[in-house]
Amino acid sequence: MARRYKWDEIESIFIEAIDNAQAVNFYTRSIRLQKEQINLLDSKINQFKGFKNHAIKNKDEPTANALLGMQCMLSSLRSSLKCWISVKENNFMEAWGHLIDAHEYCDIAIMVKTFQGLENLKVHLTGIERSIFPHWALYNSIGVLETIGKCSICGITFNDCEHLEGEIYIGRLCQRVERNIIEVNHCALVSIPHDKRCILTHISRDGKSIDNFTHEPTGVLTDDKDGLTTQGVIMTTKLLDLD
Amino acid sequence: MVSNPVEVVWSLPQSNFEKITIIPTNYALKEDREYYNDTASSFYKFAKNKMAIGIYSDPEICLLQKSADWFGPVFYVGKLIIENHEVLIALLDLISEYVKGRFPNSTPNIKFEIVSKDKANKLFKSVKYDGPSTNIKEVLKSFDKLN
Repeated sequence: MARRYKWDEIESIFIEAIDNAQAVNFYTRSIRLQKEQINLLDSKINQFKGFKNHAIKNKDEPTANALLGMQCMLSSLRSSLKCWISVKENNFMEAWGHLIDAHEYCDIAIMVKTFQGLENLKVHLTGIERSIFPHWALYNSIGVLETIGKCSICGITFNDCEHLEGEIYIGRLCQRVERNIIEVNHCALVSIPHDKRCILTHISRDGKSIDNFTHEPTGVLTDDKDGLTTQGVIMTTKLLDLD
Repeated sequence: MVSNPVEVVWSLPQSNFEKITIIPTNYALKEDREYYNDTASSFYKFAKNKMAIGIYSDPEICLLQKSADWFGPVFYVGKLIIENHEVLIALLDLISEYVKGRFPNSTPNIKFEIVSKDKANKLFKSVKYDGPSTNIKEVLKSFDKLN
């Protein structure tokens, strides 16, 4: 028989998990301890998904929303720890992706409910972004024509339901899913992008392509007569795990 | 920042609407398919129970622009509605309310377009807004210049 938890117990489990993860959420902490915390967070995230689904089943919107926020804060910390590990393993592109995941999970948690420590986590993530990674002056910003897709809440064609994209409904974020790209409309360089994953990964300097994280030459020669040659991410299709 | 009214081409088969109507983003282009900004469907659902608003067709295809800006729908506002500032103010208030709800922790730059007819009811003119939701009422001044 499944155990029933009181709200105080759920909060205690959450705070303990957050405190333990925060304690190793620094560059100098060992990879071993950070991996250990990631494994623990995996199991806590699943546990909180279970709590949330129970609240959804009971149509208890305030509790379901609060649990979604907790799940997102745990996910944000997990992504932040993954970022540190990738940095230490010199996988900078991967690290950047994890950091943006951490930011986005944190933003959803802030949208749902303000927990103790959530604002501090956001400040911490912004600090990592500013001090560990270079300042990206430009990002790619793409425009695509796509089908409207289906609603992630009710599963029907998005035009036919009453749910609004980006709103939270009983612990679930409304997204348009099952969208098909029909045509790439344009690609622009912008300073404030929607998706910070869309960076310039390589740029040219003196006729040579260099890695935009390390500034080391890649060995590829570039023809820069008509301007800068760049290589980068123009679009990601990744959806955060909010189930 | 609000543009002055600029004459635009109207390429849609239909052009008479009794209420404010969300129209395809490519209303001026003679293209095989109509498409809307990706915000059109959600904004329509949000607004339809709060004011008299229509949508030209179901937005089956949408233009997703991966920018931090909020690209709002394109609205057609008839001449009679333009002369009634209260309805236009209600629309602008709804846009502000929607953006505030969608971005509770930030103030994104917003962009949208309103198409109308000039005072002689002959030419189609467009006013574009590009700025924070706090200055959205600046749009009204531009509509006073419609002639």
